[in-house]
Amino acid sequence: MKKSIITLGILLNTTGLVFAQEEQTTGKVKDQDTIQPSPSNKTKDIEEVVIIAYGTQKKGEVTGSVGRVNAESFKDRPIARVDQALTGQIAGVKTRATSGKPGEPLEIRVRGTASISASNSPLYVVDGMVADDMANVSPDDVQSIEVLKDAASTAMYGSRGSNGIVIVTTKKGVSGKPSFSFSQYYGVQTIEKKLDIMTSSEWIDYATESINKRWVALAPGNSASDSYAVRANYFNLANTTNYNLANVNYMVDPRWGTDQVAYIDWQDAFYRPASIQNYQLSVRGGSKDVKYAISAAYFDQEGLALNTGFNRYNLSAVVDINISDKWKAGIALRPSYSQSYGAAVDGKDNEAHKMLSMVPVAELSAGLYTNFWKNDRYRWASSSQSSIGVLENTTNNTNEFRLLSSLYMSYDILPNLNFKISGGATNNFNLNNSYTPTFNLITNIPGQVSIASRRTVNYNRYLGEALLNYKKTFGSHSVAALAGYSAENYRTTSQYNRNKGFPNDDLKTFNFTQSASVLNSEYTASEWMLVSMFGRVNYDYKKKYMLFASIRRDGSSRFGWNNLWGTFAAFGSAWKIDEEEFLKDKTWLSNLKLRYSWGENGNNNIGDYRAFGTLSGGNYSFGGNLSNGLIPNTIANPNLTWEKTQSSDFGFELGLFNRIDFTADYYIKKTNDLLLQQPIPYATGYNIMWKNVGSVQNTGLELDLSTKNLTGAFKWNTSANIAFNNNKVLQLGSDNAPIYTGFSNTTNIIKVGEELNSFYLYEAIGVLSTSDLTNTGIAKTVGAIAGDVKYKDFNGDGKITEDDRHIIGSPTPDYYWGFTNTFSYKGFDLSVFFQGQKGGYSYALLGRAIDRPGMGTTTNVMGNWANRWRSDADPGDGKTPRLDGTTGSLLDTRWLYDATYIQLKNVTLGYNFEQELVNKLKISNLRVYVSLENVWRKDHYYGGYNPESVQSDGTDYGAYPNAKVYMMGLNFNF
Amino acid sequence: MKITTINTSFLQLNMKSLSKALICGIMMLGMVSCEDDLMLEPENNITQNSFYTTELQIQQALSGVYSAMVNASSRGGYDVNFYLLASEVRSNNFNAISQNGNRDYYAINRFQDTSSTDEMEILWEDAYQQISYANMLLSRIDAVPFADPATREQYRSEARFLRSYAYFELMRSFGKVPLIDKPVIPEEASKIPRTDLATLYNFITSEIEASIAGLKNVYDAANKGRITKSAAHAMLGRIYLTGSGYPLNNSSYVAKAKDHLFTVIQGEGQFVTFAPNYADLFKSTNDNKFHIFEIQHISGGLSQGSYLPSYVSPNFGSADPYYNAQGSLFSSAELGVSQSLIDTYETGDLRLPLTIKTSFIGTNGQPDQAKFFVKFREKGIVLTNRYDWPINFPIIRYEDVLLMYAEILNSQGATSTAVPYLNRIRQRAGLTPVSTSISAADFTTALRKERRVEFAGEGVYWHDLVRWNTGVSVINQAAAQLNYNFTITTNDYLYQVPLSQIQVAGYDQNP
Repeated sequence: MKKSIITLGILLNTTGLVFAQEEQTTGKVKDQDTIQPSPSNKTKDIEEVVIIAYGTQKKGEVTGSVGRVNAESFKDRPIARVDQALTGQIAGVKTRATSGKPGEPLEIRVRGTASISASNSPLYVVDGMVADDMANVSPDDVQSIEVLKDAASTAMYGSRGSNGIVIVTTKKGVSGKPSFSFSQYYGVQTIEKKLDIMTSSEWIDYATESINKRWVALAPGNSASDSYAVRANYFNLANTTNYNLANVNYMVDPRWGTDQVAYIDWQDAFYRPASIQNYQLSVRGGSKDVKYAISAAYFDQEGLALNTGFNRYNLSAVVDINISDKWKAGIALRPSYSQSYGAAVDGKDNEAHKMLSMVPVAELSAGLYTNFWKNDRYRWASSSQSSIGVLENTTNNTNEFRLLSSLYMSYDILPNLNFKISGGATNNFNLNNSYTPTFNLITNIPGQVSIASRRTVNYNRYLGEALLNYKKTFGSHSVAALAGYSAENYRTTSQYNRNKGFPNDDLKTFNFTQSASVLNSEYTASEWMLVSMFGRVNYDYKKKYMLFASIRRDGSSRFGWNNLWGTFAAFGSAWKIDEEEFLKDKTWLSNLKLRYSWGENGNNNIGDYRAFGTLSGGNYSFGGNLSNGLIPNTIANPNLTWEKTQSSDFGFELGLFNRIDFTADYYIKKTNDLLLQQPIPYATGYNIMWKNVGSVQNTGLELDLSTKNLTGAFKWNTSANIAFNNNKVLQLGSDNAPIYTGFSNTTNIIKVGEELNSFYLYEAIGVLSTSDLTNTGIAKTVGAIAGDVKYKDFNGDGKITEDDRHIIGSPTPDYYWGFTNTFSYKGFDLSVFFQGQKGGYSYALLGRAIDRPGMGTTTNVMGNWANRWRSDADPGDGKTPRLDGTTGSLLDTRWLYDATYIQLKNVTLGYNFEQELVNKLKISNLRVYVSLENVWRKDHYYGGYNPESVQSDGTDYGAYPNAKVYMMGLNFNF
Repeated sequence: MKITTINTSFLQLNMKSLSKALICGIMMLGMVSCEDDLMLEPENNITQNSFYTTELQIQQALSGVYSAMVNASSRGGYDVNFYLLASEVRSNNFNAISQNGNRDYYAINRFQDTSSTDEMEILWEDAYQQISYANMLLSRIDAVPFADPATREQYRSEARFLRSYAYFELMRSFGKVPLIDKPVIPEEASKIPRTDLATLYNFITSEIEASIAGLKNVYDAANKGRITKSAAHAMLGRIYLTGSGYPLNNSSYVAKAKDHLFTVIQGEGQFVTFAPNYADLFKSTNDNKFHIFEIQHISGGLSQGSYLPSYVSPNFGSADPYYNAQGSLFSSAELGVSQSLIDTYETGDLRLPLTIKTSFIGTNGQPDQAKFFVKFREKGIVLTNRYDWPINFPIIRYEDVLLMYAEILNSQGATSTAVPYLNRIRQRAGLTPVSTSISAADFTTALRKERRVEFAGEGVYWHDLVRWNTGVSVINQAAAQLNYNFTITTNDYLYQVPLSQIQVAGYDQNP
């Protein structure tokens, strides 16, 4: 089948990854239909095609920095979302599992964090169409993922390119007999680690010390050895054996240590081994003029926490048609339906937080269901209801139907000139139903305080674009040009109703609303629009010297009416040295290339309507009647505009003996007009405002190495990547005044000359001893007592005040890396994948939240409190203060942890059966494998489940724990 | 079953979405410019540009100015923040103890607060919100057509009064504060430093004086609670009297205070009413009857209820007459009334049981001896939300006008003229009158004691201690008696400017 290079470029939007074999003598190209690149000794004749913005390029011609992940590298891993395939695979692409909750996306950062308040997430493109994320695409359907890293590559996406572009290309149909393939895996997940909280005996010791101290301080003559009865008499209790009357601030439970109360490890009850499974069936094939790829997939993952989980059905149909020699058309439809269920587990005040802080002792009669249904609250515990009961009895289902659809028509106006028009749509319908029954049946009747809610979110996105493509070769000169226009419209509407109080708890849906009181009833709508024009020219001379330039003009409704439009330009160049005459016949040199590119692009990833000053309700009453009032709630900024990133990229590529491939990229990325939701003086009447302030610079080095170490019967391949990134704030506002961020705006700082979101904390350096108190050389907080936290007097003024807070590290790692080895012998193959990071800090807000004895002994705290300071003679671990100290509320470095970790992310052992054997079963390519995910991890993180689970400011309020997965899988074709 | 459903719905959706995408694509063939489409305005919010243009909108904006006093950021409003936490809790009327962590009220009561204490930021933010709401209204009201120009003057006067009032509360808490009288952008705001007290007093008194003419003496039933002329005079009396004391010590303010207070007293029977019984003063059924300026509260789940009663009293058991079904903020005795306040009441004072509950029945059915304010906690009211009490909170009571007037008379040597005002309050409380031949010094002592018990729990006493400059000795003595390990100086009369505001605007800090 003959095809010009031009149409190849255009069709690749829909035909996806192709390994084009170019026959140099004829200049003709033919498709090679194998999905997998076949290793070849004649690489100069076989060139990999790389997907770039609005088209494709042969790898040798690429002037920018593009990273790539093939399906091969993740096909055996238990990944629920395509995002997870990127972890540790491409230098400069950092993923973080900010939540281990099933179905949750990973956070992806390309070349560091450049933005403060606007999103740092890359733009996603699925088969040439901009998408919101990769949730619609089943990992099994993915052929490859490319990440465009440098500004020159991403500038074609203009105002959205500054955080990198992730391009997903799916498997396409090929001419020939239909090929069915089936794959499935099943696995068991267990919790990666438990948090070290105090055991029941440690808690009893802790509560006893605290209560006795209070009792002794209450009145002269009181002694810690006073019995329960003595204390009961002091408080005039009617009964000395009814423990539900006890004054728990001063009385210990005499049953502690006996078998008359239940001792509970809440984490063991809360988390469970959970299943994960995936099934996919696909068929691909076609005739000369029609090709199709159809697949159906089902994925189901139970959550580690009780009664939580996620499942998803994916369908996909992609059809490409040659209508005539000149006309082509195609359509792709990807519906998916997913359900996630279960109570909110991770985050502040959600069930994991409550569970961890639950007292590990309960009444025997109540056990795990303490303070639940008709069970009494354990008198010495807080009013938290059993998290086990809450998880088991809460209904919280989110059902989402998503449809990603696109179609295109293409026409060859001239042999070298093609016009293509395409339309795409994303339609998501999301419905959340939740029902929280009445848990306390001692003071309530069923239904009395039950809450039901229903939220619907409709999201619709429409995209239209027209592209004109030209490509021509004149002797040694090749030119390719592209011009395009696109318009996109995004609209979200949502409706939310929440009612309280029902006749009973029999019906767990949003119903009986006539008898309920309305807590929420609201509707919101939000819309934005982007209009763009763009053009690009590529030129090369003898495949040796490559030049390219592009320009894009974007208009976005999100910005101030004075600044709707922005223009973004880029250029790039490359020199393929190995194509020079003097090197051309050196067979040991398979590739030698230098690249340079520069580009400017933008970030408009803030909410809608940020430029407007708006009003909200602020009511009052006169004469006993409500008076509707309105108050200004946001401040206008008509000048709000893009965040602009200019970056340069220097690339070096070296290939030796067709066995070693090395790539190095150095980049300087400077972001100006940072979009920042900046604190402003309250004296304006507002506390925050969206502004363009300041600039941030990221510089970095990325190294990728892949080698074929052994190529005989026993094969051994290695791929390794590492990325170093330096981040520095260059300027802030007009006066460079620092900006305080993080938890309550008191844990982090954005300051010129420092890394973004550096930690700015009191530095805890130990515990004050009695002699320290009188030592004037040791600075103390006001009112400090022995056993309080000792802080570093950073400014040396002899006092501990807020001026002693100082910068201690930042969330940005020094470097992060991935390292994969694959071995194969006969039918067996083994892959071992490590990844990790060095440097950076995490701040464990969850650890802090359950680490404050100031909150009383009615909760449990971190396990280090078993080693607390008790006296000068018994100072504990030297870090944990006394339980009744005065320094409890300061945000200090006791919860700051080095985020360095090394993780054995995956080990997979597979076996491919011999063809003769399986052919008897009328199948082919039969493969079985076992895979272990999140096998092992070494880190320094104590105050939370997962050192990766931090927000962009480096803080973690208790993410869902990660799962270790043990799984087996099976694939075959028929 | 599920799969079939999906199939049909996706086909329907799909045809619609694709045709829309195609139309858009075809439009682009003609390179139709979509620039006009880019001017998208919010659908869910009214924008400031389009608002403030009709009489009704101004009226609603004015309700917004008032609203800052009740539901600013859902933190209890001015009654909780300015009058309870920043004022009453600061004084020795409260004895906060900390059983469950370091709460702001504990830090305030024990003088351990810092510039990072959240409560200080709440005060600063809430008052400046009220000021900015008023600034926005005042900057737009002139361009708005009104059916009756007198209505415009009334609205303008109310906004000017409320703006000055918010400044006055800021000044009492923080001293110097930046004076801003029109909408400003952040760059302008951070250039405005903290303004000296004399200038601030000048501004707020002249503003309120200018607002009097536009206000009404009495409003119809549907508008009860708006600022009256009496409220403006009484507020001026309080402001001038405060300015005549510590720290400004402007003696020329005494006469001005006296004039304004006397104007209020002259209106008794016509515009203001002296309640026959102390018990009548704190009932929601008597809202807008006796007080001169009160924060309006109504219950019914409208976010207009009062937080205060649940803030200062514990959960009572169902056997207690104060049981209210929904409980309180605290389950234990954290914000207790000090013994020193209880001891200040003379024997037989009818106000003591109406103000303080000295024993109660707890949720476990057992009696408890902890002591709490119940002044605003009405018996027999069953709530569905503990922050939904219907009772108004008095900012200035007529009794305060009478006692301030008596205080001025006494300071000017007219002690015998002052005595009847004091006795009127005492006799209603069931106490014996003081002699008309009492010495000026003894009168001062009697009046100060009377103010403490009459206004206990209302956020008056602490500001009295400051303007009399007796706070240092009173607090230090009380702390010593309780063996608390702190002493205060006059620096502690003011709170620290919130750290967040110093960081963002570069203000100087209080000593």
